[in-house]
Amino acid sequence: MQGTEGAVTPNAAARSIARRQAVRCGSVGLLVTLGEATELMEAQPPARLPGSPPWLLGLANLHGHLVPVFDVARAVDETRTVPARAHYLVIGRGDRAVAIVIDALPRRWEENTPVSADVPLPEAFADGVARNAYVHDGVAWFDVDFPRLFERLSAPLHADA
Amino acid sequence: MNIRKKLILGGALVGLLPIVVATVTLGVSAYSSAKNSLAAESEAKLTVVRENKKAQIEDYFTRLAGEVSALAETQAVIGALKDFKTAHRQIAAESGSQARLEEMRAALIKYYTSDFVGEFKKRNPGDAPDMAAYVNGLDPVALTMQYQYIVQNSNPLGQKDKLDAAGDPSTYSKAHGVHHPGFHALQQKLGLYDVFLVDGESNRIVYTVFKELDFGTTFDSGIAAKSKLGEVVARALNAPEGQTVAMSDYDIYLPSYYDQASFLAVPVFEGGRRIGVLAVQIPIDKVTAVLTSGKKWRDVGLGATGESYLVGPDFLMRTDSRYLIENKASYLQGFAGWGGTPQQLQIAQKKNTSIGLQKVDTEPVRAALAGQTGLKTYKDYRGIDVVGAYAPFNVLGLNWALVAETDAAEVLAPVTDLARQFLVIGVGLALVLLAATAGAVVWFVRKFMRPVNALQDTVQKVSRGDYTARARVQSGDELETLGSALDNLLDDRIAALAKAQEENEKLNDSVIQLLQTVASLSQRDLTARAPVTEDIIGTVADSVNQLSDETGRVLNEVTRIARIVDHASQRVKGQSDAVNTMAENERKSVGRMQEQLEYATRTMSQVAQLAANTNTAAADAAVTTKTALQTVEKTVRGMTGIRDTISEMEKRIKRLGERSQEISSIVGLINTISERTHVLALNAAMQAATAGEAGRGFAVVAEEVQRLAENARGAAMDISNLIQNVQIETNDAVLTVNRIIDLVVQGSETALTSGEQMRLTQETTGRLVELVNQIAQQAENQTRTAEELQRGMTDISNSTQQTADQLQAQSQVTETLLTSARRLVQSVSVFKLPKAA
Repeated sequence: MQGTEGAVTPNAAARSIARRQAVRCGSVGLLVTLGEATELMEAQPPARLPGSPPWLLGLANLHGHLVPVFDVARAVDETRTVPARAHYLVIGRGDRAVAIVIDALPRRWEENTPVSADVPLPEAFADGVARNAYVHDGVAWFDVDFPRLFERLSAPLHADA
Repeated sequence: MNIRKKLILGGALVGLLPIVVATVTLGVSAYSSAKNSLAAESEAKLTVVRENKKAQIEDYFTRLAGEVSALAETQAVIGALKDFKTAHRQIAAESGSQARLEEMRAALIKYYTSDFVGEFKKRNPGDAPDMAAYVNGLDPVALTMQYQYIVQNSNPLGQKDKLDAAGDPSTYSKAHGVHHPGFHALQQKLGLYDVFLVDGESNRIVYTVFKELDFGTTFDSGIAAKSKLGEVVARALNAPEGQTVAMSDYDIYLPSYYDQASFLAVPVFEGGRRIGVLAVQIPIDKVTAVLTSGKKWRDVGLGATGESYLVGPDFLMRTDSRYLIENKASYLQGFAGWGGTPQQLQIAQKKNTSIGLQKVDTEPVRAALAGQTGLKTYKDYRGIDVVGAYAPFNVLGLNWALVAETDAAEVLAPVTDLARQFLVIGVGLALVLLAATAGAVVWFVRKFMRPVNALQDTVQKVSRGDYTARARVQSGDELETLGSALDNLLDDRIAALAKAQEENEKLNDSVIQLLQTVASLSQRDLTARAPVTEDIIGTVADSVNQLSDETGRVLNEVTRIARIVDHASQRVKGQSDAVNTMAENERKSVGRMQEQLEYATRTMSQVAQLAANTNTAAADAAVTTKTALQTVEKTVRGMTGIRDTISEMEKRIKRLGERSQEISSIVGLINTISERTHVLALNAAMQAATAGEAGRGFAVVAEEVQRLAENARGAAMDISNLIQNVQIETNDAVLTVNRIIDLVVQGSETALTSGEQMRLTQETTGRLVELVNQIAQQAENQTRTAEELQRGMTDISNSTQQTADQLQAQSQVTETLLTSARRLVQSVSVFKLPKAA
């Protein structure tokens, strides 16, 4: 895993985590509130964008709107491949909607067990992208600020422009 | 016994009898008188000793009781008791913490178990009691007092009385420092073993001079609780007014190392109120010194064997035995035989005393304990006859017996000496008179016996052949007449005897000549002839001559015939020997044949037996083979059944696998439905979340649907896993069943092959049985034939043996005949015969 040795203080960003869903993106776990996620759909082949970074899979048609599809796990692990029965989880709505590839259906996140030790942060989650981090079943779960995450993931496109 | 001895003995008896009678009468009378006189003197001595000892001991005890009673009334004792009563109550408050008490207890346990037990073992056989238990039973007051005045007392064991006051600043030590010197001096002056002060309220020994292990303890639970000291203190505390002195009998006392101890106690009053008790431990050696007369028994009239002692109601001595003091080894040697146990013997040896140990269950002791006074002869505790004076000793409540006794042998020793003197004088006088009387009697008898001896000598000489001997007695009395008659008789008889002897000489010569002729004949000389005389012997000689002539003729004829028989017998003997040799050879040949035939018969019999055994074994083998064949056939049938069953099982397992495959399809459908439901529920929840407060209720429903979908997916996943496992195991089962079917098929084929082999074996075994049966029958026939041959050979052997025996007998007869013929010729040839006509 690529990453930096950062730290997220569990209690620093303590807030209610009720009604959150846990989604697996490869080796990374993300926590999503039902307000942030707007739709779950079966994955469809996206339209690739030439010169885009590898974690940007392309554009998908969502009810007549084109939404970018990110593979967050690829941003962390370059060797990652998308599984056959993947789903898209749409974050945001309208023109600001973005889809991320998830490996399995979301599960309800009921555990409230902040880690007591430092959790190594992947580079993509550094600089405040990850607001909190947890460890459950040996997997690091991150409570991320999706707008900032997408902004960081799409930064190479702005640089090219 | 001859006349001379009879005369001497008779004379001596007549002379001595009056002397002996007179001497014996005088001696017996004098002995009896002296014995009575000496016994009376000895009994008087013993009575005096008994009364003296009794008065001394009574005086000692009553004086001691008086002194202690007087002391108890002094202000010194009353003041001391009051001070100790007050001081010992403050000890509990001054003794310090519990930890300090435990330190003191540990130090006391060390003292009890090392110092005290060490001294105890020196004085007693066996082990000491559990002394640590006594220390553990001490209360804080006793613990503190003993610690300060025993453990902290630097004086060695036995000299703890030398400490006037302990170094602690307690009230008790101050009181002890004031009063102890006075009590110490009092104890020394009165010669007491120890002095005690007892608080009547706490029932505690608040002071002692010697600081033994009873110091500071109470009579409720302390070491002296059940002792004689406790008994007299209780009596002094509870006795009605007026009975002021309580004294105990002797008993062992643990604080004094189980030595015998006796106590005396008096109550202490102050202003008419009883505040406590003054008690003393009486020294035993004082009483013993009085009864043993300071070991000077001879000076008080008890001689070499006399002694005086006290005995308690338990029939045990209260003073030491003289025999222990004078010769301990001898006393201990006899102790067991005088009623002592082995344990008492060990105690007596260790403590060097007989007090409380020596049993004295004698008649005078019983009488004295019953209150009687007297004097008599009896067997003492050693089983020896003694003369003793006894009396009861009842002072201060004691019930003892006092005995003064001396061995009867010593009392009667002067009488015995007197009797011995009488005997010596009487015997001497009798011997002198006997010698004088004997001399007179011998002189008289010798004079009387002289002519009698002459007659006796004459008769003895004639009987020995001296026909010239004559008596020629000249005594002038009847014996002289008797001697003359004897001489005349001898002259007549000797003349007649000489004439008869001459005639006998002639007849003897004729007989001798005849005997010489007969002797020649007996020497086989038949040519000898006897001279024929004119007397009667001549007739006998003629007859003898005729007899020898006839015998010579007969013997000549016998010699001739015997030689003929000898020749004939030699020829018969030669023939007989030849026949015997042949018969022996024949018998040996027959014997060898018989042995060979016996061996052949035995071998044939063994062959027959082996054939019979083989026949039986072959028959058994046939039966076994048949049974095995049946078993194999059953096995083949059973395996065929198993193969069918397993084939059916395989089909069913395959059907089970197909069913589980169908279940997998259904589970996949369920999984798909639940997944779709999950997506639907999540989308619904997201929409509800987007709707805000209006969608809250719907969000709950959507969440619940999501939960159900998750559960359904989990269950479907579990079922799918289970079905996969079932399918895997089903496939394994099918493979296993197929392998089993192959094995069963192989086993069936093997069993079929085995059955065929069994059938062949059965047929072969049947043929073998038939052949062996034929062999057995042939062997039996041969055995019978051999047995018949053997019987025939036995008959031949017997006949041969009989023939040999007969020939042997004939040979022996021939031998005998030949020997007889030779002996006959030899016998006849010894005679010297006249020439044959």
